[in-house]
Amino acid sequence: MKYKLNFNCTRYRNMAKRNAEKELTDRNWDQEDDAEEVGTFSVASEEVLKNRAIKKAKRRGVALESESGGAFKGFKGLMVPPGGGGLAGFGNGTSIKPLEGLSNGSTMSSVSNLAPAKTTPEKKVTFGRITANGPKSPLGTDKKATDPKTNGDKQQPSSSGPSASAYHRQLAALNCSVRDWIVKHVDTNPLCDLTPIFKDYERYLTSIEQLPGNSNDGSGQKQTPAGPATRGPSQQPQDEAPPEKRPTSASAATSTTSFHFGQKVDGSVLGPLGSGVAASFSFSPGNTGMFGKSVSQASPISSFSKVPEGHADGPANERKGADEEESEEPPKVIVTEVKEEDAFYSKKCKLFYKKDNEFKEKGVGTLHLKPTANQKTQLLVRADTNLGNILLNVLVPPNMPCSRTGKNNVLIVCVPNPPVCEKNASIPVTMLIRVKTTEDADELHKILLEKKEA
Amino acid sequence: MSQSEPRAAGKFKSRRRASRATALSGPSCRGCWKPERDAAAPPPASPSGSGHLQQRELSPPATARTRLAGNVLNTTMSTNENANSTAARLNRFKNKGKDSTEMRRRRIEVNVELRKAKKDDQMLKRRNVSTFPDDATSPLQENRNNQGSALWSVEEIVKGINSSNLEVQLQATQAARKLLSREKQPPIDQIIEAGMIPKLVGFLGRTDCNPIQFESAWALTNIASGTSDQTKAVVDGGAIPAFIALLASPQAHISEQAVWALGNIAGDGSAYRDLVIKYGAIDPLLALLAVPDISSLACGYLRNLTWTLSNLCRNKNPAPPIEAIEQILPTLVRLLHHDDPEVLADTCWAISYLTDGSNDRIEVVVKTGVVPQLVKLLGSGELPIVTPSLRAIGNIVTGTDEQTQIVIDSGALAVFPSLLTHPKTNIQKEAAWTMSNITAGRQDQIQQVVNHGLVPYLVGILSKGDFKSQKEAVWAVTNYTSGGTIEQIVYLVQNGILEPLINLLSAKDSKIVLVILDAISNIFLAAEKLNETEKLCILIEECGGLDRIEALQSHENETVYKASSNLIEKYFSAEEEDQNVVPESTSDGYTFQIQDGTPGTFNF
Repeated sequence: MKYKLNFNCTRYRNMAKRNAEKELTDRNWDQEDDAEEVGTFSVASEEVLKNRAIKKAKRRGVALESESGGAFKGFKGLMVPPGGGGLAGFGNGTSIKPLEGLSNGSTMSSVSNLAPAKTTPEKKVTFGRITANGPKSPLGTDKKATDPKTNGDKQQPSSSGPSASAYHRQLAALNCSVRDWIVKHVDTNPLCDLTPIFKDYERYLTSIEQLPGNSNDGSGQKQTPAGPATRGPSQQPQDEAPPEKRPTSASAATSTTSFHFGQKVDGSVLGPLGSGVAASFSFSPGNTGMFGKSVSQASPISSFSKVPEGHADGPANERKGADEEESEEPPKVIVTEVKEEDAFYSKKCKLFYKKDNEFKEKGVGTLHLKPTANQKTQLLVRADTNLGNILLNVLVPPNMPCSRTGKNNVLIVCVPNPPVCEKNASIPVTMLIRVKTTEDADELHKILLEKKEA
Repeated sequence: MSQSEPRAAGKFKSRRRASRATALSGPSCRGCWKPERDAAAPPPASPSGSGHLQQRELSPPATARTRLAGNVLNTTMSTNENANSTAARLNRFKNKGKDSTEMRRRRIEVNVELRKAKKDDQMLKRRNVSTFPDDATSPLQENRNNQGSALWSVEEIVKGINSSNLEVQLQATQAARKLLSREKQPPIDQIIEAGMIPKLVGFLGRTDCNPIQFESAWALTNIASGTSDQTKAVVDGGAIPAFIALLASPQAHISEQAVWALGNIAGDGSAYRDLVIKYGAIDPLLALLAVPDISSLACGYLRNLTWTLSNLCRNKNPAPPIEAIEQILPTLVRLLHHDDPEVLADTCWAISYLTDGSNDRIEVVVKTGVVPQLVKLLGSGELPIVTPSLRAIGNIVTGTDEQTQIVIDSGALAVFPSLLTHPKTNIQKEAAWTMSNITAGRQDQIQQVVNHGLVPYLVGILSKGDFKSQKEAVWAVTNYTSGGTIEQIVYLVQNGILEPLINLLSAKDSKIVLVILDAISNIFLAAEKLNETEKLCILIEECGGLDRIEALQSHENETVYKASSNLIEKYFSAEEEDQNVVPESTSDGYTFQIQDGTPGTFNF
């Protein structure tokens, strides 16, 4: 009550000085104050909650500290992924995002491969699993961080094809079995001891990992890190904490990542690496990296550091298994995206069109800008699917209205092809292209302006 | 000679004093063992320096001061105070038998009792404890009883005081003083109801009989140390001008007793404080300190004076008249350079009261140039001194940016690493509060906080402090993010402020939750300017902030709901491509793959 401030205001600038809360005198200073409990906040009544719009926040897919500890991490790791479907554990928004930024359509297929991973609803879980698996679990998800370069070095996408999918099927089946078994028995008796299953699990996993075609020697590969890729994972992140170094490692990681992309399509591999990359990548070297250090402390380190830990502890054979698993497993192989080799600019985006004064979603895909024979620019958006359906294919005419809007959107007006509405196929429609970040939108906008003048 | 006697008495009387004595018990008490000073410059009326010394060593912390004075006198007691001296000796004896742990235990008990009781009662109880707890069982008790003035009944006292014989009046007054000094239920109200106050006030003017002046002053001091009603009875009896007149008494012990009584009256509240001032107490009080070297004054005498001056600075609504403050301040500044810990503590308290107010009141203090000395004491490490000086410094930085700057220029920030990690959580809290007001200042002031390496300490409190300190640190962070430059905010984030900040989002205190949300949105504003929003999002998500912010949407407090919802909408909106972009097509492929597998192949 003695605060000069009025607590109702949310901005304190210039008014922030506060008087002491309690009067302190020679008479009371020595008395112990009653300690105040932190407590937990009270939740509103159901009545109130009913009328509130509770927003669900977008996850970038970062590891949560809280998820990484605890005796049951391994357990959890096993449980959850099957629920999400097979190897869903790798689905990690973060890993994908930086990759997108990097690959930028140069490797369409890789993007599409990642897509499945993203499907996984819970990154936390994912991460929990990754970290959890690190030291002890046979799943060896964590190896990927190291593996990437390995994979990059030697693995050809083609090599991972058939055997990978076979491996995956088996692994998925194994995981589903585990899940079902656990569900069944825990439902029956929540107090049961699950240790035997995991022993079995380990055995089965080893056996499927040793199937022909899965026989990469992960540890060997790890030891021979090639090029930049090695860097992130192999070094102790703490050691390279200084901010100045960050950009370097970031770019290193970056290049690695794209490397993987082109050649190898291993969702699981990309998962953890990606998370590491995500952080480091996010401050581009050109940036002063104001938050650089902090990021390096927090996100890259945490994601990195956990992963290496896993490596260190993980027995070689486990790691082997993991490596193989990852190298084999290309969810992306299934999706063959249509590449646009001649595009000078490609960017993942989400396309909307305006109808009845509101924007409707047209689809998600990759936008390409390509030069045409007559010096004009073609704007092409292909869906990120196997078929690579064309969502939009227009020329960029000099008079095309084009503006930046919102945080990460570019607005254009064109006569859409394919038409958004069969009836009025020739009517210009406002299209909204949403890209990932503000910078991306700025860039796209700038290029479009340049090209339409040309 | 008898100078120490009054002090002994005084201790029983003054409630403020009693509480203060308790407060200062530990470290400060040690500080007063200063043989050099005592020996070198024995106070004029003080018989023996060695007596002081011994006394101090013997006396348990809480009551050391008063008792000590009494004892000293005993050794050289003059005639008409035999009874008193005996009592004083008794005290000493009694205390000797007790180890300090025992005394401490007693004090703690009393404190607990006090907290439950009313303020006024507290004082009495505390006073009593420190005085005569063991009289009844003391072997020397009989001697005292034999003196004849001990343990009179109230009726006998009334009769004696109403007598026309001065000697009888003296005896009765002394008996009254003793009754009023006893541990349990001193018959203050009975004495008042018997109409004794005007009589006692009358005795104050008996310059022809110093002993009766002294005994009545002591008795009235103890009455004034009671409840406000009891203090009022003393004031209504006309005691204020009478005591003010006694300040000039050539008898030091009488003058000191008057100082004490006036302290009790002024300490009652703003009204009597101003009445004491209005009757002109300040001039004669300051005159008592107007000696070339205040070290030449007796230690106890000086402490009494300082304490009474601090009572003249105490209390708000209204605060003391500003002219009075300006008159007292130079003396306070002088006292602040003295070397007695109790004097220093009380002076710091006085300054902390004076700075607890509007900026122009702060200005009156600051312009005396006292701040550097305050900062020095802030680093003294003596808890009874650090506490009030920290409060004073904390008050000053609630003032203008210029006033705050003076604190910074005096080097205060260098002390804060130790304050922000002080073993006493109260000090941590006060230090964090002070920081919050400095980070509420100009950007160059925030920069000073950064340059002194204090940000990691704030992070430390936020992570590990008790909740009250954490709340202050939250304010410090929010103010910092509100007024800091982008670089400063980045530095804050780099030091790991986010995680401990976010961890407090689940706290019960919705006000502090709002303040945290405010800090987060300030940090986002900075990140936006750097185009690093994404990174910040990741950082926040990484330390669990997203879950917590999401959860806050269910907070019972509507404002919290809105603030958290806004944050999510603005920075964590699911609208973005991410959730929708990839999933569908991919998930199909994925699902397909899973179904392809043949569950059941493995038998568990």
